[in-house]
Amino acid sequence: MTKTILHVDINSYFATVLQQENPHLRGKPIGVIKAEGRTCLIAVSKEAKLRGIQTGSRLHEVMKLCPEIVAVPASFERYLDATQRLKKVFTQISPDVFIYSLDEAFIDITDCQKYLYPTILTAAEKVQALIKAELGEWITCNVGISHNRLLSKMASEIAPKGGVLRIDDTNKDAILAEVSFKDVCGVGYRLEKKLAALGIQHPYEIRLADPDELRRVFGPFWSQELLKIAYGEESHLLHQVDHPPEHMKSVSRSITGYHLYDDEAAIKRILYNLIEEVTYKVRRMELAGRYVWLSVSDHDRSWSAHRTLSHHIRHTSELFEVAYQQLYLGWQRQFKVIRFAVGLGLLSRERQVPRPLFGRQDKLDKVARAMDSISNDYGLFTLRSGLLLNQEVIRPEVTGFLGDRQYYGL
Amino acid sequence: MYQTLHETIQVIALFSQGNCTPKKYLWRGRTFFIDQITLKSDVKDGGVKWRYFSVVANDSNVYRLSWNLDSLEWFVEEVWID
Repeated sequence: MTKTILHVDINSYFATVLQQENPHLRGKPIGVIKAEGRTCLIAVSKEAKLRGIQTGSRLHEVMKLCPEIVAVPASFERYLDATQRLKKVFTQISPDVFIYSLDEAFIDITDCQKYLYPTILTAAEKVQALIKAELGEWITCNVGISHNRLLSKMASEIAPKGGVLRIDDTNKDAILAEVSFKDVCGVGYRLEKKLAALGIQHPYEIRLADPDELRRVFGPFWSQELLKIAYGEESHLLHQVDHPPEHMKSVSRSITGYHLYDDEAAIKRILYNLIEEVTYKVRRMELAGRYVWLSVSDHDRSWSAHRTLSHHIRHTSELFEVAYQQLYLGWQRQFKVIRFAVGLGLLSRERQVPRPLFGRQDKLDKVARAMDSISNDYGLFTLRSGLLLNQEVIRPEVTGFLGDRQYYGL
Repeated sequence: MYQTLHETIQVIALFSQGNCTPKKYLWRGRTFFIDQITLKSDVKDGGVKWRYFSVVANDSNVYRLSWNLDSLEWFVEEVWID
């Protein structure tokens, strides 16, 4: 049975929500920064894009190009709430919804189409109207329609802002021959560069490439994936949407500081803060992991280390012992640090993990249960280590690609 | 940019069909009539739920109001300054 899938992509999400909230910002080029004092634009409004400003630009560089740019701090809690509201909107269209990122979703209307939507365009227009009714008139979205996720996402990428585009057998090849790889889900910058080296600029051209050469350059997996993309078939990455993992495989947290850190006490505090968040999330999902990694970097250099343990861990003190005491302190730091990342992987259901017969596990569990119950009632970091006193705590924040989708119940 | 305030306010709101719609509020001795609610967000801080209303008030400025659904207190959290 041929499927009908809608891909909804909210236009310039972070910036548009801020413009919806504040009419003074509408129609103006705005750059979203992570917080007051930050200089990297994590998102820009459509007006800023028209002036050639790109996400990831530095504020001082943008000011030269566009002095009227308005920098506004992001509001991650609002974005997450808006996405949760959007999910409710999408489930009014069809019960088969997959939130792909904070501002994107796939809606499979295959089963309900013939009963609810006389034409496919009706469903797309209904999504757009419901989004405006729920979040506000300034919020616009592109809707792509096709028989698989690759093409529906491609359609929404190339549709005009606020528009609807359908890719079917009549226009599929023409679009595959024209679309650039930046609009193709699953083809990143490096892959695009390798394809360009072979003289391939558009997906359709992959069909004409020598299969042996494709296999030699891209390997057995990617050569097949690229051929699927060339014919507009769903790639492995998007096919995985049908098979979500039972639980998260890893939980990590990273942050870029306000400045370069050279003070060991400050570095220790930041790492402890990130570790506290990671283990809290792991425990809330009733998981435990045994793969620990840590990474720090400055503007040019980076250092990372990892360790696979023989047993599972889930408490702050356990992860801190491995990540900080064993990995970080085992390294002679050679540069000041601005970016910190820590993670716990190889996660399993806690109830399926063998418990040690001896040791302090029971005590740790009891303390964690008591602390978590306070955190659940009054917020994370209400009760915190003395290490985190008298300083601003780094709180959890949602990311655009929604890597912790399962944690947030999306 | 937004200036952080977090000051208590008194609010008159309309409760209808399960929705709460703030209509006007008293802040620093002055009454602000809400012309438009531009965005609503629900944020959970531990077990405490907050509802945020971004509003345009009678001086056409934008305010972020918060309502603690636990204690039922209202605050003006931030004001937009051009």
